[in-house]
Amino acid sequence: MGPLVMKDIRLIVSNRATQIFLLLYIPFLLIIAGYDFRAEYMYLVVLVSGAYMITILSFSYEIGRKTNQLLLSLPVRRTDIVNAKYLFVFAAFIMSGVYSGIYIGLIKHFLDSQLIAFDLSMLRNASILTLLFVSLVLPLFFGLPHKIANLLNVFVFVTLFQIFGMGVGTLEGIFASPVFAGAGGLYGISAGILLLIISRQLSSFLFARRD
Amino acid sequence: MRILISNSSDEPIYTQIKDQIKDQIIRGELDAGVQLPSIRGLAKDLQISVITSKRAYEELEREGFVETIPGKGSYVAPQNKELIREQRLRIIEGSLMDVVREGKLLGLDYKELEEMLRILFEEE
Amino acid sequence: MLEVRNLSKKFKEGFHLDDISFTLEPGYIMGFIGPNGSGKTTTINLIMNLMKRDSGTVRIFGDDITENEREIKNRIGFVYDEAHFYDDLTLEQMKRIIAPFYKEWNDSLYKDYIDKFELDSRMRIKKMSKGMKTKYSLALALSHNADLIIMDEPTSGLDPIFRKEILDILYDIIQDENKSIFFSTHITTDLEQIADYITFVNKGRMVFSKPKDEIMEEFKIVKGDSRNLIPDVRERFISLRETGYGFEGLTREATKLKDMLDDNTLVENASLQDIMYYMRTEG
Repeated sequence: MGPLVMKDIRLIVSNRATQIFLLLYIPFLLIIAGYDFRAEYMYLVVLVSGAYMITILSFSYEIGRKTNQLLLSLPVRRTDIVNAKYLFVFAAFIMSGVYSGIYIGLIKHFLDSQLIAFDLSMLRNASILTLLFVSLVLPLFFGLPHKIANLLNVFVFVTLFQIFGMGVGTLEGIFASPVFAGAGGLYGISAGILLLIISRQLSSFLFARRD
Repeated sequence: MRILISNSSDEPIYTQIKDQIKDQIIRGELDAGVQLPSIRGLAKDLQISVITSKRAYEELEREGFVETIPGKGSYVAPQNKELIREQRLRIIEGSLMDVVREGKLLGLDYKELEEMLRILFEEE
Repeated sequence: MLEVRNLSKKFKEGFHLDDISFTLEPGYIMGFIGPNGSGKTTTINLIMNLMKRDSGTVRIFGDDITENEREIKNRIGFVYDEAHFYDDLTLEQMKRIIAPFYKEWNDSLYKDYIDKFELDSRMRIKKMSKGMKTKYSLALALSHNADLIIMDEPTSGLDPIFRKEILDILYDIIQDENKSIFFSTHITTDLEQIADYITFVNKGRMVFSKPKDEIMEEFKIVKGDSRNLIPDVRERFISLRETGYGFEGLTREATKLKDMLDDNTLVENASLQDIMYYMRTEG
């Protein structure tokens, strides 16, 4: 499993297209949502959407029969492949955290605008959202042909942004609810992890039956 | 050791190899105790399959020309001098048969053939 | 070492692989031949468990591939025809991804092969020619002490010089009597000399699986005058080709035919290509 996760990390990091995209992503978000966006959720949005996108991107390297064939001919079990992808989610989250932290931090430093810093509750909310959406979308990639999964992934992604765009009052209400804030966030995180595990079981089941 | 394989010959490759090695042993070009190349080494050098190479050696062993010691290799077996002499006599007989046939076709009689043989014998 | 029994798989689009069986012992090379679309790649995919079989068994090193997949694949070196790697990476980066998967990865052996094949580790994979990719694929396959090398059309698209080089490499591998090679191709000339066994599939079924020497002795090409093609003669051929100049056909009964036909008849060795051609309707 280790080498599998490392593979995904290496591929994301060394991909030129991804690097350029990440360079433009935050400015893009700032432009399209800047006027209506509550600054304190900037980190959250980038963190969660970044982790989500990086996770999905890691599937794009094995499109079709090509490198997929390579992967399956290596001494790995299918369950290893599934587990590695779920572990990669955490790596994706950290990468996204580093990315958003540094990038937004730099913007804040130079523009000295009202961007609010990282804080624990924001991290908590971000984790829960990430766990939720990743759990939804990963079984799609393990169970369906890539093209279809990718299409459905767009719907999930759009739903994610609907949540971000929900208007500050609603968002604050959600983040203060027992799901997110209960027991210092423990309810939320546990629920998220549980969801992830269920998702993993489903993915494993679907993937084992595929060709 | 000299081996030349023809891909277009009627003879299967293993037979060609067997015959050529056998020939060299009979003629004394390969002495008893000389180590032959490994089966796989031979296959590689001659660009043939391992099975073919193996079969040639197996036939040679069956006919008593080669001994294989497991783990060490294949060696030319000490030849029964009587057997070799017999084999070579047979080869000579074969050649003489050809001479007789050709002579008869040409209408020569025994005395003429004998004369030819005597001259050649003295020349050599 | 590799034992396939009654392997079958049905596809929705109509093609199916039916009842394929063969065995490969350690120390030998098996050529897997058949026209395009005959089921070679499917068979290999089933052997490597890239696809799920419908029925039959695949045993490698004595174990069922679906049960002991990781242990078995550790000892298999796999060479593809399209050698799909992550194109944006360099050879070195690609190796760093692959090497950790194998228990017995031998990095100095890998470096030796890279040098021997004259490959540049810093080159990006998408810039490599097909021949280079195949050599790279081989280098990876040979650097973890694999006992079974499985190659799926490794020489298609390569020029004859490369193909001969690959054969030389195979000869080197086979010096070790504990290793086996399974080599699928539709370019039979590559196999003609080196293969110990040949398995021929056509239209999803197995036509035969035998030692190559036996095949060469069993099948011959007989050429002769078309006037001699009486029914009794015709039926001794597997199939025939008739032209304005005479006939040419593949037969198992060459000696009998030689007796039956006149002196203008030629009996020649059949190449694997001939056999594939004349038996193209079998299966």
